[in-house]
Amino acid sequence: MDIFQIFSQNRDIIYLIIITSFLGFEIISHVPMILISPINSAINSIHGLIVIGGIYVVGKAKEDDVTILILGFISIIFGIMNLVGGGLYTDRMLKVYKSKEKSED
Amino acid sequence: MVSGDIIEVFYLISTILIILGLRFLTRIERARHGNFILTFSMGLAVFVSLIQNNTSNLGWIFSALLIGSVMGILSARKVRLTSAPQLLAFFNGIGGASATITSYIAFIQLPGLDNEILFSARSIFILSSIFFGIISFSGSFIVILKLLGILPESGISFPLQKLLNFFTVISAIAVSGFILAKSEPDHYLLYLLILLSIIYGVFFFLPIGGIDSPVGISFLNSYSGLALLFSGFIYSNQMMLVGGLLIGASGLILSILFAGQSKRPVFKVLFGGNIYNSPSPYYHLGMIAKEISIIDTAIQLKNAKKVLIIPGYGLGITQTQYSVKELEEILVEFGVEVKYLVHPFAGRMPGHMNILLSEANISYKNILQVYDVNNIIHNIDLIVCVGANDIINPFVDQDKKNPLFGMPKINLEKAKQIIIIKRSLQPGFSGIENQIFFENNTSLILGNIKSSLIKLINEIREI
Repeated sequence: MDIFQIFSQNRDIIYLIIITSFLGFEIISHVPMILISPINSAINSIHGLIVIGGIYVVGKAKEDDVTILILGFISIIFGIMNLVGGGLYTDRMLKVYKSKEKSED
Repeated sequence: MVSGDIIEVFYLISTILIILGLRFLTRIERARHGNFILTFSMGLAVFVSLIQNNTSNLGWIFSALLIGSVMGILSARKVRLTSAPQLLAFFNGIGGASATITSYIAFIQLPGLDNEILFSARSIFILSSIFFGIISFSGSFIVILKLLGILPESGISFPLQKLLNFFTVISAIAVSGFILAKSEPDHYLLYLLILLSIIYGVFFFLPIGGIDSPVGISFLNSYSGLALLFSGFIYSNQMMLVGGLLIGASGLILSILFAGQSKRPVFKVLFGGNIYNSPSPYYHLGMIAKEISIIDTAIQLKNAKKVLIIPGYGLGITQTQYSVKELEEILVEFGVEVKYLVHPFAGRMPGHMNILLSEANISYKNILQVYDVNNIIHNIDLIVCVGANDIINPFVDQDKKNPLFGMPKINLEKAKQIIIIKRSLQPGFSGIENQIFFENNTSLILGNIKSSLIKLINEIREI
């Protein structure tokens, strides 16, 4: 019975997991070959959202808790670097296709 | 300052925009907008998280955001597109590290209650996030070392590898169990868990080599997605949850899609670790590869009606896509029809070669797929392979144990004439000898790819 209880208590989150997984599948499953690299890079940049965790940790830390502040600081640097760098690099890859389309038309 | 309710609304908006952005990214005309929407919506989510109530230490946060953004911008600007796989693996690795650090902080902050064990949903999420974060960090590290050529790119296999991976996972679960059964966060056990995760990450990605490394890169995405997902659970943050789920699912799909190209089941790619002995070098069998002079090549190219260029990773390393474009232009001037064949495994990452060619303004409309080419290959007068090896190996449909087995095969045996411009006769990343070099209709131009191409272009101009 416990399992059923866990299910009904976490119903929303279980629905979210299942539906989002299918959504991720649907979105990606029709990618043309030439876009696989950029989309791989774009998906990679989404991982930069981890920076929210870092912000949360540092934002809630006590001001004299230097260990946590420094660790959180590093974590935010890494996270935002993943986000910003990933986004810009994807754009650089995609720009390569764009410039060529114009020159042809 | 903004209350939590408004933040939730903004997270919803960001989620919708992220999904729209991803959707746009799957279409060439809109891909760039899609990426902009995606990055913008994530920026929005980060900004909203910043302005919530009771956020202290803003100085620390803003300086970290600033430093990280500048480093991100610099690396995105400076790194050449040829090195895209390395940079992606690097971003992935620091993302994993970031998840590990925040989860570690959450771990040391776990309340130590008397007579109460740590076991709870939250502590399980924390340990899972640490586990997957470290796998994606150490795995990225191995992938980068391979891409840089410091570790052999063909992958390192060793006996009992599956068993080792299996035991690492079992021990990681056992150690997690011990951690959860204590009443206070036990640092030494956590270090043991971290060590086990590193071992798993290293040995999981070490054997994935040769044509399977793109699958490995996609799989790294999935692991970091899982780390993000569990971090989302820790902070019950909807944004991180959705992001993690999307990456986890789509990263997995990309791996399956790509493994599907090679007709190899994903689990075989990941857990295979075949030990394969290459057939003995063909020159031992008395076969001789014949070379062709630049002048003769120039004459043949000029007299041809249809020419097909097959670029390989050698073109990427030597940055010769611009010279190839120049060759195309001059041939088109002489009325030769020039097409390209991009093999799905050309380059170090799916779609890598397309980007390199596009960088030199080569139209993607002139780029053909293996299937298209196989239908018309008998009509092509001359096939020029530039810096390609494994992708033109005819061996791909023989011997199931062969690391190249299952790759789409270009039916080069039906080709009229093949000219291969290449550095040397060394085997490619797979370590497999290539019979195509020794066929009757094949001629080789060996040596520096770039200078060969430049000489060839000059020769065509002169005659």
